[in-house]
Amino acid sequence: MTLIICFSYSILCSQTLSDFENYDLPIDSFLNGSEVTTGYSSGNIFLPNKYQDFGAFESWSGWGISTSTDNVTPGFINQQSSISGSGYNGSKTYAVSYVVGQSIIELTNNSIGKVVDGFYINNNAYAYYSMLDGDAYAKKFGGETGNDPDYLLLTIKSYLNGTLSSDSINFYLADYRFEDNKLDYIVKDWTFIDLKPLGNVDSLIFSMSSTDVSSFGLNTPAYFCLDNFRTLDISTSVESILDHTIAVYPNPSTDIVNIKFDTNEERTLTVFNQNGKFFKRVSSTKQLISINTTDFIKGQYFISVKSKQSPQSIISIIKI
Amino acid sequence: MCFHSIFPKKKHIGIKRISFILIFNCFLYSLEGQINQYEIDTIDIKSDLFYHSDHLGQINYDSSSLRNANKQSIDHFLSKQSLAFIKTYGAGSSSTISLRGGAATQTQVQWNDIPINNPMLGLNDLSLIPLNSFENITIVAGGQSATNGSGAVTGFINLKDDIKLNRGFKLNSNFNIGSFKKRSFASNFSYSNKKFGINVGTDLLSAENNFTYPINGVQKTQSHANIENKTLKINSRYWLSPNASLNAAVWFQKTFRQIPPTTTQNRSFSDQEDHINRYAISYLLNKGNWQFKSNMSLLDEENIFNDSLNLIHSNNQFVSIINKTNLEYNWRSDVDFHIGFMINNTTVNSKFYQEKITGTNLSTFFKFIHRTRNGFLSLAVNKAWDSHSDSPLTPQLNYIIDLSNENKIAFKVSHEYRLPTFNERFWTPGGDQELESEKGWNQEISFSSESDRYTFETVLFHRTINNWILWAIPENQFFYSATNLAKVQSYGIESKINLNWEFGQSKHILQSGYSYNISKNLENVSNPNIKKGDQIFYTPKHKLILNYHMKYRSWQFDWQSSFVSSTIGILDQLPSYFIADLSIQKSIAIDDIQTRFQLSVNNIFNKNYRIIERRPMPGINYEFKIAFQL
Repeated sequence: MTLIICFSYSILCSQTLSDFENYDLPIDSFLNGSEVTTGYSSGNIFLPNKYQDFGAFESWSGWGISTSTDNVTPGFINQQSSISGSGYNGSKTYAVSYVVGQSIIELTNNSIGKVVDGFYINNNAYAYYSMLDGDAYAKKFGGETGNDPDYLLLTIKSYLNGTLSSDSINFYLADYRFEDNKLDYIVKDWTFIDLKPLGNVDSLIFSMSSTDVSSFGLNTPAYFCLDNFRTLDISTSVESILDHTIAVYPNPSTDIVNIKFDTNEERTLTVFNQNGKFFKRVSSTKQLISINTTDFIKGQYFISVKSKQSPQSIISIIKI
Repeated sequence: MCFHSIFPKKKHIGIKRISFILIFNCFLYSLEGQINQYEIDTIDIKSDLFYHSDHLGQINYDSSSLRNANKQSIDHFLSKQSLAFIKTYGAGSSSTISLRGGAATQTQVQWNDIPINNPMLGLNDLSLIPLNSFENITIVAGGQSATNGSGAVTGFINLKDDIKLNRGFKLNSNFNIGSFKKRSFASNFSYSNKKFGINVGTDLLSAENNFTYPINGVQKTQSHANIENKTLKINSRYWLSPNASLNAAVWFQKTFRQIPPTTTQNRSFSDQEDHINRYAISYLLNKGNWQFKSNMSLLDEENIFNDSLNLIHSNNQFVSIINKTNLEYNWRSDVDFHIGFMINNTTVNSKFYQEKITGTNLSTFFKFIHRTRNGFLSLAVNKAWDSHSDSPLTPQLNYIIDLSNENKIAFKVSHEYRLPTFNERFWTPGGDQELESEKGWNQEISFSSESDRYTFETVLFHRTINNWILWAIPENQFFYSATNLAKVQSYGIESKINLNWEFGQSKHILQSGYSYNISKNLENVSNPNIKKGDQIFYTPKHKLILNYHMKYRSWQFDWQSSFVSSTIGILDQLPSYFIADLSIQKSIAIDDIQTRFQLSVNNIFNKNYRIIERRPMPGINYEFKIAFQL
């Protein structure tokens, strides 16, 4: 435990934040590659963009940079917006990804080959309303009866020295697989994804999958938004500690944080703060474990997840 | 099938009777006591299922059978009356046809021999073609590229106007009230003397289509599905001499329809307007052994799509000027030569194209016909030149042998092609100007037998189409593009049998048909995900129709039913369905006005079914029609 706490503490001390505010865009702007670029840089990351101009029309994929505040308009016309109408913590600028096959983030400068702390993710407005209400091409999640076990899943893998990791991190941007439909959710708040379990990386690969597919591919709009990407400019020899499918929501949270696993097994979750102070321990065999954070003061916490079947994982949560 | 008119012919009408029709709606109920009922002439029932021209498999529907069918548009009619598969998005929504496993773009829809397929899409929305205002509809299944050019790979549908000499005044009108707030009025007024004839047809429709359908035991209501349609058709003919006539026709149509949400969509704010203006002028001359016909048409159409929620507005327009000219020469009593050409100049305008696009296509054909003592041989060949695509030489050989007076056997081999549409070539993004034409070979063997009491026909067909065009996302691209992606083999059998008999004062017709159709991909395709050997999307392997018609004095009973086997959709497998409609008519005469009351029950078993995923179809519904003829 001491090792883990020391590791956690040290990585907090040497991180670079990519928040895209360096673009200094006016409000309600969107860079989609039309300004002739191969991508966007912020902090120690590069986000590639593909853009094609067809005269009256343009098409892009990969990454764009947005300051759009419109979180009300549904449909393709609002593909540049996050569902919160801003970046993380109300910031002006954030990144939008349209995933065609896969989107990539390349680490740059002294982050190459180092550990990535994580980033904040949120749904894109177009995808959010499509999942909530359906559109002419995609279904509303839950389907006709509300009981369809739909999901929109973001899978993150990494490259190191040209080798694709076998490990991945899954994050459910929407999850309607609960037996109790009241628990079904579509992410609409900025939520932190911890990438440290991937270990040292050169680049990250993002792919999306959904239960709503046709013979022509994904029907659900394959978009998500990203902000406050933190690289840790140190490498680690600590063995990759990864649980393949841990969903944490809402994150940041005010009172309850849910941690959802893919399997039922006996686990012990230990919560401690940045200084390694113990706060809470929960043992459960359930897939969904809820931790009450009402008594926590605002700030960042770590949850250590231990079980007999899986390697140890560390999850970062934010109490607001 | 053709049920001839139940109305005796009338040559004159007075203004009083016209007024009766016009004001009938207001006084419907007060007239009940004045109706003096008596029987009218019995219906002349005749099956026209096996009209023989130079090929088997042609079906003609005359005006009376079209009006008698109590179907609003041609898609509803064909889904019940033919073995064609009609792919419809729901009540009041778009419909397209699939003949013998082909795509909608591979069936040519014609108006008086002129192709009217939308050149941007390559197909025709059959739900926009009202049934009432045509004198005749012909369907020819099987390859017809050699005589009709691009897009007749699986056959064609010809919507025909016709005016005959010296028929005096004639007026047909009908009012229709149905479920889901359906209201329609159709009227056909015609007049002809020894020199001149005119036909004016109108068709008005409004419906809310707010039907209910069950989802997991809960009834849901279709919303945002209104349709309003106004059609005006005028056709006139002037006989310059007994052997020559000049024809002028216009077809104006304006349709507005809301696009309903899918079953997995909470709301829709989309709607579509179709503005159609079609003009045609033709000249026909018979002189000795020569027949000359030339038709010049102008097709001006606009399609407007709005989505107020998503702030989408698109406006697609095209104008086509088409001349089709045929010359037929009867060289000997047993030999004919046909030669003809069609020139088509089309300009399309859409913000989805980088600029206004104009395309010109010249298609020529030659046909040789030899009538032997016991058969019929025809050889046709077509060659087209297109400003944007290459067109193959397309020959067709057809041989019909009379085995006896009742029995015939026919063999046909033909080459078929379809030029890429304007969208497939110029749409941005994704259009590909280098696309090749779809092309392939078609083979058919037909056998037919007929007598006074029955007609029977069966067709074995086989067709292979290369360069089948699909929209897909190619590797290293991030938008859909039109590509020559698939190779499709279609084969199967179509059989139809008609029986008619009389029993006392009643007359009966039983019409049945069955089609078995395999249309499979011959190559693996990754996107869309199509495996080699898979049946192509929305193409049932089996379709069965079983229709029964009974006439007893002034009463008429119709049963129309069809079974469609399960299909593979792009999302799911769609289950099979069996749908039946029932109709009862009573004909009476009030003075000189022939009146027909018709009650129809559609989907009588209240079958919950879908033709397209997430697009519900209405359950049991009712229509009441009153029709008049003067």
